[in-house]
Amino acid sequence: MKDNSSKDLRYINLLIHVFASLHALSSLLANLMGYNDEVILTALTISMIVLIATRYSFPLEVTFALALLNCFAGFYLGNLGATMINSIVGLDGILANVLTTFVITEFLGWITYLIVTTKRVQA
Amino acid sequence: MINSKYGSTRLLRNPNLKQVLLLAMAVFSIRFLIVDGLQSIQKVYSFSYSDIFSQLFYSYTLLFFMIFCDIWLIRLINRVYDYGKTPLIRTLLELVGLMIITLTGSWLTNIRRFFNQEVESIFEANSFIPLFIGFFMLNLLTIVTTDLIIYMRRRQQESLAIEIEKKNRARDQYAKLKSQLNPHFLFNSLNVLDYLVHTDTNRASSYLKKLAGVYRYLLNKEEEDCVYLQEEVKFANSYFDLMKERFDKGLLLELDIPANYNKLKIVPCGLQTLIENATKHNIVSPDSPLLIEIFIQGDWIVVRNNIQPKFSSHKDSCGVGLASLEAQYLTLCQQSIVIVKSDKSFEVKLPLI
Repeated sequence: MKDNSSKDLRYINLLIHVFASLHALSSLLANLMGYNDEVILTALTISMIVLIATRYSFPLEVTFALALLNCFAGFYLGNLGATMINSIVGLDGILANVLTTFVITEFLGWITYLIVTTKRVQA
Repeated sequence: MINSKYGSTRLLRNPNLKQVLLLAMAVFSIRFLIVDGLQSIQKVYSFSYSDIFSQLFYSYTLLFFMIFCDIWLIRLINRVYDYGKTPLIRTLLELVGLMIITLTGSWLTNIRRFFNQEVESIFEANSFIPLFIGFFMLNLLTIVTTDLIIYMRRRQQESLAIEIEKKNRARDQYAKLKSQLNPHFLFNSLNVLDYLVHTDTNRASSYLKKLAGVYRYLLNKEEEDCVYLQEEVKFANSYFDLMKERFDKGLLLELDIPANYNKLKIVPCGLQTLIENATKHNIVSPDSPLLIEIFIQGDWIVVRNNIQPKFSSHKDSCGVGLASLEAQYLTLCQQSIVIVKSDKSFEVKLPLI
C-alpha cells in the first residue's frame, strides 16, 4: 500500500510539473508569436485533469465537472494573477503571463489531486 | 470486490478514449462558449455582468428556486444513472436539465420585468439573451459543484462502509478461529498424546502429525469462504482419526462420497463441526457406539448420527456450531442448512456449492 501511494505521488508530481511547464512554455511561445494562448492552455488543463482523475478511477462525468471548474478557475485566476503581478511587481506582460500560468497550473493540479484522493476507496 | 449498498462507484469501468475525447470536447466548447462567446454577445447586446446578477439577486426567490432545481436535478439523475456507468448519458441529461432550468429562470425574470414595465415584451432578445447567459453560468457552476460534492460524499460513505466491512470480517474471522481452536479438543488431544507417548511411540508420532495437520488446515482455510469437498473430507477423516484414538470402538464412521462430487464445495470445517457436535451431545462408548454416517443425497451432503443423548449436553449446548454453519451458508449462497431430528437419529444436510 505504501509503495503504491508513493508511486502514485511520484506520478502526480511528475504530471503536474510537466503540465505546468508545458503551460508556461505554450504561453511564452504563443505570446512571442502573437497568438492567443487560451485554446492550447485550455486543452492542456483538460488533459491534466483527465489524467489525474482517471489515475484515481474518478468517473468520467465527475471528471467533466472537475475539468469545467478548473478551466473557469484557470481562466479567471490566470487573468487576475497576471494583472496583479504586472501591477505589483511590474513584470513585463509576457513574463507575468508565463509565471502566472505556471503557478496557477501547479495550484489547480494539486487542488485536483487533493480532491480525487480524499477518502479514496481501496476496492 | 465487496458488495454493499454503495457498490456503484467502487467498480468503475475504465472510460474509453472516445468517451474521454467527447467529454473533453464538451468542456472545451462550454468554456469557449461562455468566456469568448460572452464577450462577443456583450458587445452586441451591450450588457454587463453586474446588470444580470443584480436582476438575479433582486428576485432572490428565483435564485433559490434555480439552485434548488439544480440540486434536485443531480439527485434525480443519481437515482436513475449511477456514477461511472453511463457518463455520456448523465452528462447529456445534466446539460438538458441545465438548459431547461436556465430557460425557465430567464423567462420568469423577463415576465417579472415585463409586469414592472422594464421591458416591452417577454420575448425581447435584448433582455432575454444576456439573462440567459448569466443564468446559464450560475446554474452550470451550481450543477457541477453539486455533482462533485455529492460524489465526494458518496465516496466517503463508501470508504466508511468498506472499513466497517473489514472490521466485521476481521471480528468474524477471529471469532471463527477462537471457536475452531476449541481448548477442550486441544486438552483432550494432549491427554491422548501423553498416554500414547508412554505406550506406543509410533502411534504417538502418527497422532501428533495428524493433530498438526488438523491445525494447519484450520489456519490455512481461515481466509477461504468455501473449500473442495475432497479437502474437507480428508480433513474430517484426520479429525475423526484423532477422536478415534480417544473413543476407540465407541466411535464409528461410515463415509460414502462418490469421486465425482470431489470438485463441489462446502464451507470450511462444516463436516468437522458436525462430527464434533455429535460427540459432544451423545454418549460415546464401546457398549453403545456412536455411528456417524456421511453421504451424498442429491445436492446435499448429509451427516447423520444415532441419538443417545448425554444428560449434561443441553447445558453445554448453545447451538453455536449449527448457527455458525447456517450463517455462513446464508452469506455465501443464500441457502439454509437442513436439520432433521427423529427419535433415533439426528441429521444435518449441508448444501453442496
